[in-house]
Amino acid sequence: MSMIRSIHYLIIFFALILIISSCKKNWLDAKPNISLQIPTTIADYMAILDKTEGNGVSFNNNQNGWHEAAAGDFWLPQKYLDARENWEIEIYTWQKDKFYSDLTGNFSNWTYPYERIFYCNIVLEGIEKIRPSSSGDELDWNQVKGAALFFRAYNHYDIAQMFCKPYDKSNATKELGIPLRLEADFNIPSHRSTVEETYQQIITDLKKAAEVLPIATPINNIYKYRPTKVAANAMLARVFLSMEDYENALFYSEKALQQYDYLIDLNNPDEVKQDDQVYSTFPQIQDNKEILFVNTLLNSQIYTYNRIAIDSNLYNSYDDNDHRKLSFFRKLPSSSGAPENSYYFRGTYAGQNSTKFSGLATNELYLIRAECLARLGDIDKALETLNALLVKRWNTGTYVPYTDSNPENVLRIILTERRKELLLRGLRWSDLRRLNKDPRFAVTLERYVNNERHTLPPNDPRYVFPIPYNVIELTGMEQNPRTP
Amino acid sequence: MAVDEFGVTIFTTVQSKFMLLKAIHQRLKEGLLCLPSNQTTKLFRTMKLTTLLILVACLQVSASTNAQVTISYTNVPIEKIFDAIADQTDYLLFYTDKVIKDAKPVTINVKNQPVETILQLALKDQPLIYQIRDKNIFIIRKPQSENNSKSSFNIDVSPYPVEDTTIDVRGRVINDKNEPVASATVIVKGTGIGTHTDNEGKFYLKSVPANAMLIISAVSIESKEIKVGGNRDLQNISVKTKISEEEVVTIVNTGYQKLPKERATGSFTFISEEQLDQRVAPDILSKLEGITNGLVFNKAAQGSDRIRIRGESTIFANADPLIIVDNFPYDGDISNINPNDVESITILKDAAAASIWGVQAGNGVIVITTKRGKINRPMKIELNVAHTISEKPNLFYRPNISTSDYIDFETFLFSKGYYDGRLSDPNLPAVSPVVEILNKRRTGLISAEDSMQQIDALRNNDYRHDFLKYVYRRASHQQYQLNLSGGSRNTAYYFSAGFDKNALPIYGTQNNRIVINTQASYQPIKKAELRLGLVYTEANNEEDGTSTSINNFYPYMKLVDESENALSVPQYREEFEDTISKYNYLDWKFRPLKDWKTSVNNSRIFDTRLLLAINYVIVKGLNVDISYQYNRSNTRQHYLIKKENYTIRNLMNRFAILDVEGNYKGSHYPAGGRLTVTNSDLIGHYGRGILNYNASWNNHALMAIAGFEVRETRRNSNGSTFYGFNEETGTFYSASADLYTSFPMYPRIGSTGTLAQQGAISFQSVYGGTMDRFRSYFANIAYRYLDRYIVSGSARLDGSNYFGVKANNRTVPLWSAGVKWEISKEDFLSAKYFSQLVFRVTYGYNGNLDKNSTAVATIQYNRVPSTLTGLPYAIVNNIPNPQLRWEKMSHFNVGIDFVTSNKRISGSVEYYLKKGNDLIGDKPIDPTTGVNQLRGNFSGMKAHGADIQISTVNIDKNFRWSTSFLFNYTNEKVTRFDLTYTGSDKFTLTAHKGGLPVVGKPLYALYSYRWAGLDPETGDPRIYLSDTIFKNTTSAVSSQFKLEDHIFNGRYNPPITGSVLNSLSWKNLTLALNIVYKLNYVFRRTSIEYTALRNDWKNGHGDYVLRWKKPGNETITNVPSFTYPINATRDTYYSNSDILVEKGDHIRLQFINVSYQFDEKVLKRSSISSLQVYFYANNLGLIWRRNDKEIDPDFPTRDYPTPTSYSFGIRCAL
Repeated sequence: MSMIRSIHYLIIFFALILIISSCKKNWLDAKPNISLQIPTTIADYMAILDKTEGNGVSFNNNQNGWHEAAAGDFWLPQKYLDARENWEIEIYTWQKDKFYSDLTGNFSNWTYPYERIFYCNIVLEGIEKIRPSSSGDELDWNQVKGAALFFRAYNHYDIAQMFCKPYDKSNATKELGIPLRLEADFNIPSHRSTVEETYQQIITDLKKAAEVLPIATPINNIYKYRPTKVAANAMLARVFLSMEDYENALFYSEKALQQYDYLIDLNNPDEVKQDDQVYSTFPQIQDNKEILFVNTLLNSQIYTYNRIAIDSNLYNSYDDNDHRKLSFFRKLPSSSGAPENSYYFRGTYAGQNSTKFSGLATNELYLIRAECLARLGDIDKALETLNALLVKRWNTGTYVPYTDSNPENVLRIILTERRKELLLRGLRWSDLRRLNKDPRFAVTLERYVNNERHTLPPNDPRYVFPIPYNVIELTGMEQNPRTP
Repeated sequence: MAVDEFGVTIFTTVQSKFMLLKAIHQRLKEGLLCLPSNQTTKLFRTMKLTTLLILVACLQVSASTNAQVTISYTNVPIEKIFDAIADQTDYLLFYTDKVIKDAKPVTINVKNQPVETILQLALKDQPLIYQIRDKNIFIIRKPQSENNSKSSFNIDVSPYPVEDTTIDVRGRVINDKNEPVASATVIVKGTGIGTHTDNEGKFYLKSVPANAMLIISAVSIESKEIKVGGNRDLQNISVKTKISEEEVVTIVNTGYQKLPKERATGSFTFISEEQLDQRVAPDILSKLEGITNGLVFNKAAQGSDRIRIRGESTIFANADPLIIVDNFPYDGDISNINPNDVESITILKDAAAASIWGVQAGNGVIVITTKRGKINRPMKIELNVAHTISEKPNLFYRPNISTSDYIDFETFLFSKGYYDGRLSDPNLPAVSPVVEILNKRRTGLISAEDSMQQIDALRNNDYRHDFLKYVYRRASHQQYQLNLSGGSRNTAYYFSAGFDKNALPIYGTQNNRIVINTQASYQPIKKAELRLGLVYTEANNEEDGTSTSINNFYPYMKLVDESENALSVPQYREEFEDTISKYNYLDWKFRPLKDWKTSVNNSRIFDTRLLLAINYVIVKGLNVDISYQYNRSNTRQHYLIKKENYTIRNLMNRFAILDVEGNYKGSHYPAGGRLTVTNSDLIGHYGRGILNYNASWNNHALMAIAGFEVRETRRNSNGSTFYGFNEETGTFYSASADLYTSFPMYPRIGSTGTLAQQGAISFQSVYGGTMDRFRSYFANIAYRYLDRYIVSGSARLDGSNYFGVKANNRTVPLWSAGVKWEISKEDFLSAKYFSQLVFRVTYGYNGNLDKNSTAVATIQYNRVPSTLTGLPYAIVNNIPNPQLRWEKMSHFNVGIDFVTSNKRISGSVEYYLKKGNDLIGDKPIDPTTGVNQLRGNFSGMKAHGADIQISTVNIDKNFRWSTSFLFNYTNEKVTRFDLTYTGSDKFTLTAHKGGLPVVGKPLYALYSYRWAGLDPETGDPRIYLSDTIFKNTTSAVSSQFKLEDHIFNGRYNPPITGSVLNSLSWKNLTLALNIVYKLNYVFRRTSIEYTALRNDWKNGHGDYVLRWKKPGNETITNVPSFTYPINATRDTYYSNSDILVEKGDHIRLQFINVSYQFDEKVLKRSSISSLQVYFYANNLGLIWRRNDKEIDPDFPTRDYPTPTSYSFGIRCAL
């Protein structure tokens, strides 16, 4: 009898264990992979934005750069052009009809920035669900929110430089801008805003970011990658300059410079200390005290540093006493097929020759400030600002400060120096779009491929890139025209 | 204590009273005490405790050996007499109150009389008789029939009638096969007298009436009655083995229930032990090839990857079938299952068969049932030893470019300056010896004559000869298995120990495995059964861990010099390797044969499975079965690279610390060996409760199960690296290596050379963990009417913890239904043609899941912080898709099973249709949203196919010939896939994995360019683009090509597969011959690609010699000319054109098995009951192939096909 009873007990015991172990509430909620997690904390969201490297999209590299291939500061020897893909040549030669013709799938100049914006929106939506519980938390919370807003604006701006018309006060509310993505939900259809809306959104995000971001000096390496108040202000200066809003550009460049205005003296070996083996003018990022925010251009074979030949007029515009002439350039080998005395650019600001720095730095702020001052009539102050920068770029004792009283001359000097100092920093395309509107500074770009001449006159519709075809196909949004 | 013939323990001491009670209780219950059958249970039930106590009390005086009794009673109840007997003797009396309730009072007055006399007197005229078995007296009712006849117990006949009419009888029970029948019951008809046969089938009965009838019965035999007829030795009593339903009927096991195949509506393939025994293999899955209906093998793949049940059922989710071992999903490595422990395998193919496994069953289920002991079987000891030897791999299978041609090719490239970049590269990359010689000649270090001589000396070298001699060997595999099994009336046990030793074809690569398996079941009471199982596996794999790849080698490489010293193969420039030692660097040469012995990658697997289960019959027909399995598997990998290994020397040199003169004075890389230890743990808990209901009444039968299941599998892995490890002392560099700092990396010569690279010491540690949880409810019902109409249905609800599924989509209901009609049992159908004819139809859903898709956003922290900021960072690795659900695939199956009335032909024909509309697939999304494409339930696939199995007995005389024929057809088609691809590379895949879904086409489709022949002027490859000849060798335009620019060549997995197995037997000799075939598919062969040849000579194809050389050649060859500079686009057009597509159809002789079963007469004198020796040869090669290129279509891209292996084995049983 007792055997039967004990078997009964055994069965009940087994059954109980089964039921207790599995019927616990949320038993199926357990995490399936230790390394996977649903972001829930401020630190999780910060970690998303702290992605500086690695696979996939990061926040401090692969910035849009295809426009650099179209901006005319360099050309490629035919030998190298032969090896390039069609779509690269099409960008290089400002094709009217054909565009991205064999580029399959990866329209990275569109997809990368929008992917970053998507992550920013995930962070912005997620962080709103967390209330900081301590003052330390509060700081982190602000950092995350500020960074997400900064990155969203930064990437929207980046897209705007390629895919919508430059800002023009007179018709900004009528012209088509870019699609603004302000929510993470990918089910919300994309549509094009106006240029006005595009820029207003960028400015709003940046201003909000500047409010909450920490006042941290970019001397600390972390704050070269994480955006700071200074970086947000510097970015505002860049944005307003591209909008030809020189008052605001001046205001924000000065605001940023008040917070941080350090310039490296290229003659000071301590500041430019490098391994003699690394060909670099500027120190590595961690030692480069001018950097406010790190970003680098997307690598592309079409502007691989040692295959491009810098426009010879541009090269010749550097004085022999200009430290940059030696450190920015190297002679192209004869095997490249380029004419004798062709030079390639190797002086990247990021301290390593394979990447092109495109982030924010004090030298850009000096140049924005100088230009705005000149445009607003304060010529002395403008030259003073320019000279403060250039004296650190020339060999010791050789620099003769600019003096001029003709406003147009001064502006021309500043714009020339801007091009020389910010060479291959991903800024020239925006500058061309803006400066071409002024007949005094308008230029026609020209290029030869297989001895065929290609030109890009000022204000041509081709200054706006076509939106990737699959985007047009999937959303039905309006395409940018390639012919007037 | 002593044991009598009944197995009853006799207690002779007073102290044993209690034990006696228990023993009696026990024996009666077990039926070991034989009493007239109608009384047996009653006796137990009605026996009063008091009676027992009296009996026990008797013991107090029973110590006396006196069998003489003195009684003086008048008109007393008969019990008084019994009491007196018990009092005065050491006899025990057994009776129940009920038996003696009709007894009349007795008067006896005797002195010193034997017990028998007292009993005869007492039972005179009573309806009772007695039996004495040793010291036990059983009082029982007089059998009815004998009341009328003259009873042998009639004391009127004689004072001692028993003595005169009873005899002691012995005998032996044997079955049809002359095997002894153990544990059979032998009862004297009409009495309770009885015994059991022993293991040799022998029995001995005392005092049996000479004219008695014996009834012999057992579970496994048909009962037999035999007359004693005064015969004291009945010798061999032959009985017929009972053809029980269980034995003729195939019992399929779904992992949840076992049921006769005849009663199941679903589609099953059953593989018996006998079929498995035909093959010799270290793992169980290999044994299924060529004999399993519905299972397709891909020989070139590994693990469970290589098998598909009825083709593909998913596009992106896991495509492997679910493997069940002893009723639970097996999470470990399937190669840890000892194939010799496997009793049978059931393949569940359609929805009705597999739906009981729910979402895991989408790809079909393989249910492996291991051996068990059986109740009432004598102990059986089996020994199986097999030894397998494989031929050396055929390294010449791949038609490589000849050494001499390659040298000419290199010479040409050198003359064009191709190597100049390498020769001046500051990184000092290695160049081949020929290039070194040519370079020396150019720089004037050697004369043209010398260089020619040196180069010509290399022309006859072929690395493959050295490889066959020093790197490859004949693989061998030894297998030993010992098992013991048996069972008594209420227990069954199985114990086995298996040992496998495997030496793989590459020296230094070996593995071995020990599996200890214990299974036991115990029925403490009739209604309950406890099962216990414990399986322990230990496997050890060892291989050489030298990571330096063979790719830097060249075809004229020599591994040893004339005196067998290991030669070096350059990894850097020769001069550098030769002279760097003067800067005190460590030796920088790589000598494959020497270095291959200084690194060992060893992994050990410890796997334990524990099973506890209980089955209890609640009421007749309803039982509950609760089982629990615990599985723990630990894999410990030790990857040791000793300090003398090239890897270490190279890294130490590369991270060198130099003094001002450029001399090596130490290294950032820790000196000594490097040990990487990785531990992976798997802990699985499975619990299941099932209610089983079986009932039948009149013409109806119902069989139902309902249950609940939980499953949790945790996997953890962690690994770390010990730098500076000394394997002798176990010491290592105590400070961990600096893994973050980027150091300069050499080579550079002296202090002035160019710094080549910067780098950090590679990081080897890992840590990770996963956890799967499932909770499921299921039910299954089958109803049978009139033995010929069966309806079945099943339903299952699955839930899991995958992020993949949103809470409300987490559980998915899946169901199936089936009907079956046994036409042959219909009266209107005479059994003239078919003894069995069955028609069945099922329909239902199977599920699948993709662990990698999620419904919520997840992030994954990078293992190491950012090297730029030192901050931890995470990537968003899953795009949330709230609509994500499990995949569901419908499966319709119709089948006919038949056996002809002469039983010569049997088989089954099945047709199925599979359809999935919500399979996991990709869909393009507007990238502006930040998402380029989304994985979700966006694709569809349809498949149909047929499984045909026909078995025939062609000759059935002394010589027996039977044939089994399998034909499997499957054809799937993608019905929905939203992504469209462009770019030719997408369509010209040849891999067996990663099918590219194109709507309207099979999942594994091969596309090519349409070949337009070689350009007669230049020998350039040309293709057709929409009917015009296209030739563009200047730019990489192939990425613009669309699907329409390709032709569809066909499927590259075979839609038709099958086998023919012929078995011939004559007397004790049996020959089995298996042929497998794969038809109607294509594959792409390789040919010369000049780019690949330039980059790595190993890719050089022998078609090089066939290349176009001058105009006119285009009529005899399709191999493009060689041009310089080498143009990759030309290669692309040629290698992806249909000119290289070959038909894969082939027929292969898979295996031959010859076995000899020793005659029992021969074995009779030994203790061996059965002995078989066999010879087995596997992978015997192709019989026919459609391609004429000497390519084995199963291995179109592999270095060599699986070599033929030969096994010899012995199977014996005691």
